[in-house]
Amino acid sequence: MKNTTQNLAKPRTRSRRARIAAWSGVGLLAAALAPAAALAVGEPIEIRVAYLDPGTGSLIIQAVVAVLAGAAVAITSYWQKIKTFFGRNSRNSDPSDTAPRDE
Amino acid sequence: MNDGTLGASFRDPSGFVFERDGIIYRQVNRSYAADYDLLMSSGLYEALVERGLLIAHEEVSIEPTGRGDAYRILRPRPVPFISYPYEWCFGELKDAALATLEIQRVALDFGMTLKDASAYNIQIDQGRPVFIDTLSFEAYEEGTPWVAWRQFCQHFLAPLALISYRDIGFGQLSRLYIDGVPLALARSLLPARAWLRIQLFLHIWVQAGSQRRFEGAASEDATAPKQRPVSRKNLDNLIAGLRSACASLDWKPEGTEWADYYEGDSYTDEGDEDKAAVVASHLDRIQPAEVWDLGANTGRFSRIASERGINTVSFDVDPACVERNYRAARSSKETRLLPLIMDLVNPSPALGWAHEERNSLAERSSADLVMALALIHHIAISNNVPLGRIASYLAHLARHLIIEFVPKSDPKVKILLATREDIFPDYTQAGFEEAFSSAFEILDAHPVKGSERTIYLMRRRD
Repeated sequence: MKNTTQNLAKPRTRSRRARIAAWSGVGLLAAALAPAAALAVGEPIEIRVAYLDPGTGSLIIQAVVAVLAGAAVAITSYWQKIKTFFGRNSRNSDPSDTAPRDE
Repeated sequence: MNDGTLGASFRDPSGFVFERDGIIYRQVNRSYAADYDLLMSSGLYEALVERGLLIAHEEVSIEPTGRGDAYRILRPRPVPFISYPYEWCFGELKDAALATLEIQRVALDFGMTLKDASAYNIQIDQGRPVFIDTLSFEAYEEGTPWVAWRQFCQHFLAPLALISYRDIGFGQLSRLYIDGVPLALARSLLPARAWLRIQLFLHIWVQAGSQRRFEGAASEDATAPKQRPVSRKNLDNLIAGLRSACASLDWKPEGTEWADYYEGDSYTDEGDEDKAAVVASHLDRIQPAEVWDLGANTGRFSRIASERGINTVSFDVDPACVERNYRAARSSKETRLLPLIMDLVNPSPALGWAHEERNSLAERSSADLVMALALIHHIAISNNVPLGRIASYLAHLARHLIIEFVPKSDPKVKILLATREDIFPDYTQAGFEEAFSSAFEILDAHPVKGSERTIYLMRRRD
């Protein structure tokens, strides 16, 4: 019985942590980027029907994700620049991090 | 199929792939004519082919199959071996993902977009990922979202994240889910700390949530939220975000059973050199055009073939070995070596609709010679496969065989037998020769110096 309780308790803790991490992410992002997202996401449109089902939920959220993803990339790149400016080594990048080789 | 259409080629109405007289062709249907012409006239085709990102093709004038409304018939540059995402190591999957995103980025600059982003559209050819589906491009219209976003995340981002955060074994999920790992599944499997990476949070957690929220919402339903336009700038952001997400994921090839094999090798240096020399002389004698090295570890003996200009597929069951093999091949820009993950006692099956979309390993057999070095004891003893069955399967794969017999007196076999009953009375050198003689003619038997092992060269009895 003891074992069962322990096994049940563990995932619950983990999922609570997951929720906290996720919602703090949402909170931070929303606070920082909501004005930008609101400006960037325009009026509803009809899109050309694709032969591949793009997924209703995926299409609905894509405009918002695109804005936030762009902002996150920009913030990361500014942060890297700041770190470089103050002489700290930017993270060692794996050769595979670069775009596909084009020799 | 009797008109030669390949079993995997039915999803896209733009055209299909067919085989005639051993040559692969791609038919472009009239419905795709405008997009095909744009691909060729916009400069996108040249830009991508020049960088090795898209397969080159030539337009040919042969009789169409009679299926569909043919606009053009293309003859793409052939790819020696077709491999699938569940056979790729982490590095191959990651490079394929980055190549797909780079293609989409370049396509947008030329006014086109990828209408699908399936991992099956990529092949690892000449040591690098190349996009093989010439009909995947369509004219881009400002404001439209990327319709392949979900597919890209399912085929690439989700498995890369699962491997990176959880376990290398999740690379095999794509064998189960032919259209990629469902994002809801990835979301439930990934640990909390994965969501601290904002791109993973957005592309997996948020997208999966939106899918669940709006599942089945009909567009006619006035209360359902509508698709919002995605500006060109934001589409670039989406691609940049995905790129950043994929590039930041990593997996270190260590801690698996075989990754350090050569460090604790079972050969003396003398035996090792002798083995390499005999393999080289057999390759020079047979002159195969394609070699499969089964149980290749990190590809040491595969390179004896690939360095002779022979297209060589280097299979191993251990993802860490395949990863090391691939990284070595990539850093030295090897073009003839293809490292792949393959469990020989459970090789890739035929998958998909009517078992025709993805071919089994045996269906893809195109090798002239198979190497099975330091392998047979793992199949015969660890997995209890009778020697005769091993012989007939190998005979099915290729005409020539270089195989190493490892006797029971060998230290490696002693380890395998240490913890179990020896139920292999036929596992002797004589028993091995007898079992293989029904399928093969033994051309040469060479005792390896400093060991009790023997290397055989055999030819299938046709």
